[in-house]
Amino acid sequence: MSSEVILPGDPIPLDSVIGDNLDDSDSGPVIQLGPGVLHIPPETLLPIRAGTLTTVARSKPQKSTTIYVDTTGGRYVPAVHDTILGTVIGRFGDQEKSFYRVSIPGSAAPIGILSSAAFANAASRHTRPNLSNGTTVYARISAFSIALGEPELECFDENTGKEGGFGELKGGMLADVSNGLARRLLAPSGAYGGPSVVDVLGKLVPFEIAVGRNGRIWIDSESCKMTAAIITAIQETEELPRERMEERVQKIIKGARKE
Amino acid sequence: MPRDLTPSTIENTFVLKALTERIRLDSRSFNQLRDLDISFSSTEYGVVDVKLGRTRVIARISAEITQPYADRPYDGLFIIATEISPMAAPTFEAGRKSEDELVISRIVEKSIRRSGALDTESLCIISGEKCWAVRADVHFLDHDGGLMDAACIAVSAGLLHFRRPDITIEGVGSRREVIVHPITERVPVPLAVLHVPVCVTFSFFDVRRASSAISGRTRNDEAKDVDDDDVEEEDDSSVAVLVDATLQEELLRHGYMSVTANTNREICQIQKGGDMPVDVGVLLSCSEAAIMVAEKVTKLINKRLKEDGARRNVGNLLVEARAENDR
Amino acid sequence: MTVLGPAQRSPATATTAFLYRVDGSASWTVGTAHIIVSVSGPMEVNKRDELPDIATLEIVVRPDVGVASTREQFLQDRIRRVVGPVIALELHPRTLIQIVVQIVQSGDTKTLNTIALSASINATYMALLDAGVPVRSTVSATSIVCYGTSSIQGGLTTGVLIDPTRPELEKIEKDITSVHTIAYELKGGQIERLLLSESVGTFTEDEVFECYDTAAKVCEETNGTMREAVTKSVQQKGGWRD
Repeated sequence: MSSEVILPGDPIPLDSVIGDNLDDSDSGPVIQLGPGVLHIPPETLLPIRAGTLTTVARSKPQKSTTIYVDTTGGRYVPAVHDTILGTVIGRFGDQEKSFYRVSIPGSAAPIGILSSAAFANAASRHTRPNLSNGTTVYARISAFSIALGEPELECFDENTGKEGGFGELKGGMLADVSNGLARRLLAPSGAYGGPSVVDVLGKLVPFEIAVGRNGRIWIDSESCKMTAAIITAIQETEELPRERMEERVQKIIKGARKE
Repeated sequence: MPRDLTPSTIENTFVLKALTERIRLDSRSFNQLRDLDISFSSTEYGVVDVKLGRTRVIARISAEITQPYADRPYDGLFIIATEISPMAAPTFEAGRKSEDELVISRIVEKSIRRSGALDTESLCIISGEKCWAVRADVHFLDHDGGLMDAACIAVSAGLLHFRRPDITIEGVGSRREVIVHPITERVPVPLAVLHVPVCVTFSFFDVRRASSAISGRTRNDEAKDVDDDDVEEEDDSSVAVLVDATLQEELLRHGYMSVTANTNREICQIQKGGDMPVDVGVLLSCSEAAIMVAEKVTKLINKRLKEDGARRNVGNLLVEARAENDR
Repeated sequence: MTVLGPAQRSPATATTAFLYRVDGSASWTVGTAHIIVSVSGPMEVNKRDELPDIATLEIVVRPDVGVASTREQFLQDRIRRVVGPVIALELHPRTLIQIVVQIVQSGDTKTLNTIALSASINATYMALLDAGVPVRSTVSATSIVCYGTSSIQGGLTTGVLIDPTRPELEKIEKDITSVHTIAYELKGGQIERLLLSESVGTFTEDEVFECYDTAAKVCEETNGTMREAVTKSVQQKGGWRD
């Protein structure tokens, strides 16, 4: 993985992207474009955001290079498979087939549609959840295109069809984080070469967390005070280097324990 | 334009439950102000940048010569413009006044203009003909609650910081002429500020409503609670009073009261909103707290003014250039 | 060939990401001018403003003093002409990208309208970057003020001020011959094309071409300032990752 700061319009030299992926391939190099890079045929790659140009070389399933511009800020634009935290704000349809309108705070498309059948064990009308307005749901975007307008949501694990942590969230507290932090929190443990803020917190105190790609997190723990402290710890340490993050987190959690 | 955020049930329940345990999300105590930062422009007079936590407001004071109103020939003009742009939050629409905005502009107006913070008579140049029109433009940059408090501090500090160009009147009778001396030529003149009003907003939470929501108790239980309270005459356990609420707290509160006070221990205005009755005791304690905040804030304004003055007055030139010096 | 006198220039500073409720923010300070810009979007658009194939671009310019007038309308129009073609609006159709330009200190004298424009363009571009709105290239703008003072001996001293401060402007206000607001599109730090040339006053062809050349140099420098600000912001936001 390599990275450098890039501005829109800067040239991306193809050689550097392809690197040693070029040799021993019969069909030519494979480049996958992530967010922030536009392909202008035949072979120009145009960065359209400012941030860190990141290239990741992969060997499985085939030899390829993924290239994208990593940014922290900006508004969340829905994408399929993303998990979001939303609030039920209305319901429409009839007894047989009803839908919830779910507001997705901080999103380019502000309202998502959640079918009452899109829950685990929702085969029968009687087992479907009955959500009132104001309920917070942890959901996954199952379909979205700009032409479609409103993202479609589902509240079950797409691989297993089971609940998998999706659905109505009870208790705990919601908080806003930046788009970039939400992405970092969702990355697999150790993806950034060391413990993340969640890893550090997890060693100190038991808690539950749900991260929405729309820049929202949900936290539940032993007490109000601890939940508030965990939220503070996550929000405050976003821009700190790892050692200082660890120190700060420990101090905040210790402070919440003491009183 | 996105809709206003509607707080979810989770947030509502959590904030209220935390308040019963006397916890605020940002770990402040109930009567604690957020970090307040006041800074002045280094190049121009009357430009103030106020940061109250994440809320940020810039006030800009300006003055020009104009004609006074016919019915008030001895008074200058003083206008405060408080238009909120979508910069503060995308939920505000450009060019259209929301209800919140109206409340904010009314409170700032009552706090500063109607309380006579600026002596408008001192703005008169030639009665009925010429006077100064002082204008305060408030730019709301970031909205995290307490917009009116921040706006009020910004305008008050701006009035103290502002200097208008010096003028002389030449000629007599109808041939009188006003000569404006650019600030590069003559030391500019401060405004006649009579007092420094500081607005403090108190947010009320009905904690009893909260505890019943949490435990899901019936109406009868609640009624019983009220009886108990009457016996004990314990008010403050049923109402949580928060100073300087964040936006989240503002969206969830049951009522609020804005109190404007100054260091003379005068209350300039009180505005109450929301659907929660407030006891006399709470009103009095809020007023007392407002005066304390006003003292603290005024102290900070004066400190910053002094620092700014020292920075401008390199080589003590301003003292040398004073009109009352010997020549 | 130099037709115009030697040039002086005030340095510019940029900061980004200091407002929390909007998606992107930037402040641009040059000379005595101070502009703050916020960008929100792509987000929900009013049905009546919705465009089927591209994003709606809303630009609001707010004056430092008083209510918006023709001056702000002019600024709004010019900013739109410069940043509009650079934003990849077609990537987010049926959404709104909202830009609010707050002039804190215009830096112009009463009769001029150039520093506020060039500073607004630079600030707007930085805020767009901070908001992660897709843009195809970089944009920088500058103001060039040409003046000529005739001395008692009869000779003519000419000079050029680049992004001058207000006191500097006031000093030479009577002798200003022409004012040029110039914006370039850059790619990879190199000048690509001219986006805006707004000239007022009397000037010769040679003079205006020299202004373009000077502006090109200044815009490349400004582009460097922007790159520094972005790098700083990216590093700061990196946090606990390697």
